Amino acid sequence: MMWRWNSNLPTMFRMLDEIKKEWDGIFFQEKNETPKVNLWRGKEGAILTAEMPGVDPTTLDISIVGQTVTLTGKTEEKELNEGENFHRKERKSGNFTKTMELPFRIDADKAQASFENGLLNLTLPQMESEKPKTITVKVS
Amino acid sequence: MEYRDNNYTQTENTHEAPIMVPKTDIIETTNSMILSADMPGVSQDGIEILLDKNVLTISGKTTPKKIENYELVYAEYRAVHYKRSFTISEEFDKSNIEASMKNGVLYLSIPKTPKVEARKIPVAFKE
Repeated sequence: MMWRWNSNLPTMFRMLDEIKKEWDGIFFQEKNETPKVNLWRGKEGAILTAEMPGVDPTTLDISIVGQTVTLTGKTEEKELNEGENFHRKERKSGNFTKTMELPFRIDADKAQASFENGLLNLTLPQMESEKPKTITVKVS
Repeated sequence: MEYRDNNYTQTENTHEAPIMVPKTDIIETTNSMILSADMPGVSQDGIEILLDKNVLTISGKTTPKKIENYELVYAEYRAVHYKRSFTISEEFDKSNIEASMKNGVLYLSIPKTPKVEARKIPVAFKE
């Protein structure tokens, strides 16, 4: 799975913001897949949060290459013993992988991840060299 | 507002956050019923388990996240209220339900009532 940010998106996001004010929900695209991801953007980079119920954080693998971040992990799988049986099985189990491409190169050394109540919080700072610089104009 | 429909999630908008039915596994073992429900983002303060007669209701609240100096630009999930009710039959011992939570999953263990052996009742004949 991959989604891409192309150069028209900043304009699109501005438009979306306008629509969002009118119609809450246009922005929200519920997907029925694991993990569900939200992405936050700031000056320092991005923060990715993901719903990962039943995922043991020690088995979660986060790999960052250039502009892409890949989450690979496994949700707990319940092995049935003798005399046990499922009355209902709705939860997803097994392996998952999700790749996202960000609009900037990620400083992998400064990336930080935490896990709480089944939520992943991944801070993805932008490479220092790629941050916008302010240039002052000298008036002679 | 409508969301994409699927088999096991239902949302409605009469509350401040949409109500969502948590995906649940139910396993029957020889001496208990094990229930596990996906409730990512629910903290200790947000969880509530209520037993009213034979109806067990689990509910969990997640709070909308705000990150200072960051703006949400892409979203696949949002803050919801998880809620689901189960009817428990007489076969189970409702006074000994155990609940725990780990990695965003609520686990409930409901023991079965020990079977009462059928016994004969002697009748005393009185004259």
